[in-house]
Amino acid sequence: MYSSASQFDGNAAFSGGGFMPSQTTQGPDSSFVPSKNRDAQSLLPLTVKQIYDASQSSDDKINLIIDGVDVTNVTLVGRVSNKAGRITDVTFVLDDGTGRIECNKWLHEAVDTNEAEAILEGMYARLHGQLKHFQGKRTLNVFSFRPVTDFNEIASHFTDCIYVHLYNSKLRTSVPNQQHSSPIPPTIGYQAQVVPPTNQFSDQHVNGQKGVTVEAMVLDFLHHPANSSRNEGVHRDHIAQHLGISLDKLMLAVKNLIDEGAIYETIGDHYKSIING
Amino acid sequence: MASAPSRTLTDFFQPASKRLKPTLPASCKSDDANASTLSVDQKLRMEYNKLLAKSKRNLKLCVERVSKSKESGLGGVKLEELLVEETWLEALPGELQKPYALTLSKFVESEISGGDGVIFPPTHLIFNALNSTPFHTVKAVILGQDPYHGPGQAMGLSFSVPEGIKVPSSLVNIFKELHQDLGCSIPTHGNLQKWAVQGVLLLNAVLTVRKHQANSHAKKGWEQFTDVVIKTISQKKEGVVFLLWGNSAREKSRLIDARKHHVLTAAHPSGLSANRGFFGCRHFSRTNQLLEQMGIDPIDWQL
Repeated sequence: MYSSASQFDGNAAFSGGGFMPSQTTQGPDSSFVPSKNRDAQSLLPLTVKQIYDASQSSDDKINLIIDGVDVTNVTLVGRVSNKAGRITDVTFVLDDGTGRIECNKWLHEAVDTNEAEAILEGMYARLHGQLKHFQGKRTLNVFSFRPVTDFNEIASHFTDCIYVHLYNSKLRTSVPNQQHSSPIPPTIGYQAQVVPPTNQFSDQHVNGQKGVTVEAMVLDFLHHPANSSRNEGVHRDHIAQHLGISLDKLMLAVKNLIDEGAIYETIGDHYKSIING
Repeated sequence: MASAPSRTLTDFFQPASKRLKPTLPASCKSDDANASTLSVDQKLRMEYNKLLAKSKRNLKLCVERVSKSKESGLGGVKLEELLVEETWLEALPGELQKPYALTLSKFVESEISGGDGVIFPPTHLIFNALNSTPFHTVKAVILGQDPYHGPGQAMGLSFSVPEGIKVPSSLVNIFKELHQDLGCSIPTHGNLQKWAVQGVLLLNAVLTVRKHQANSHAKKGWEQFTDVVIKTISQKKEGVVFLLWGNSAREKSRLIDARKHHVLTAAHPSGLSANRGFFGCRHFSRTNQLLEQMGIDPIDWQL
């Protein structure tokens, strides 16, 4: 019903602002009417800690801001406790491991009552609801909740929270850069930028090739200050002796390095790297 | 008569005999001592090999950038990323970011994305002339019009073709004139990279062409870029020899300050006009005479 794949697709479709589109959960009754309190804003997966860490929006005092995004509709996963039911509403505390938040659900329809009765004390549940912020206290007005039957959903929910947090955080930091460069399509933003290396020789060390290939050994030897400063280069016998390899192996590596343009022959059988210094 | 300069030139680049090779003590590390033990021709050979190595590295860098852009699927590599020779980037600051160059870049990228083998030279060789002849080493400039448009011919150097490719008729005529002028033997291949590494800038006015369509990328912006290259050489250097063959190349003389540089003109070496002003022009020996007068090492034109 609520797979990660669909969430990912939903994410890719939006380039900023609120996050995933609201999804209506299917109740057992086809005549189910969505709660009147729901509005058109997107749905954010959150942890309770994120809710309590959220800062208050500066322009008004109603909305909370998380990762730079106004938060209204949220989805949580956690364990239900302190459940108290009445005819008109049900209240409980949701504990997802990062914190506890009070939740309230009004029972408008028979389907609401059925949903509420399906949740027992201590059960894990998936909630969709609206955050309320009044006199410093944060509560959740629940639109819909159901038992978690596939417990992969618990880990999946936390993964979604991490993903959305990273995305929104990145979106906020990358916005100023858009003034200096062409805007990056959302699908590209997920990939690391391809930056050509300015110095191909550093790659050999970065990739951990140093000391592995004969070419890297020769290059490293020729880069020593004592060798790179010699105008006439280093004789091949001296290189072979120092590296402890045969002349045949050395000359094969030397040929490869000359073909790549990394070293060159100075005078007969003497070689030098093109990097000075 | 012509054989005398030829002998002098070839003697100049003869490899040192083994008996003359200096034996260096292991403890010798003084730069002065090192300098004094190296003969003039050994230094020239060292310099040539070093510049050849740098041009190979530039080529490898271009190949890497092209292949990485293909892997990432971001479309073609940007034109400005293919000019990798630092000395030219310093001599032409911001040139490839100007509006006309960005328009040209988009045009070339869209042409290249039409499929491999549609645009010549191969993407990594578009700026080969500049990447092979650093700005500070330019001694002479041979101006071509646009790249060869047959498969496998173009390599980013004007008039030049890779080894293994049939030598085009224009280049055959160039070799004939070279033989007549300096007594150089006719080479078996048409790769002029050895000239480029020595400081002969082999620049086409237009740097790309569509397959089998001569001059198809003319007036797309390349002329403006290469004109800036020529003007930059004229303004920032002295004593460069410009070899202008054919009317389109001769028109570029307006960009060159003839008080500071030398301009040699002749007919185009193509079959149609070689007999009407190219053969007998003796531009190769004249170039070397001018260079020697200025105290610059002459070009070894023998391939």
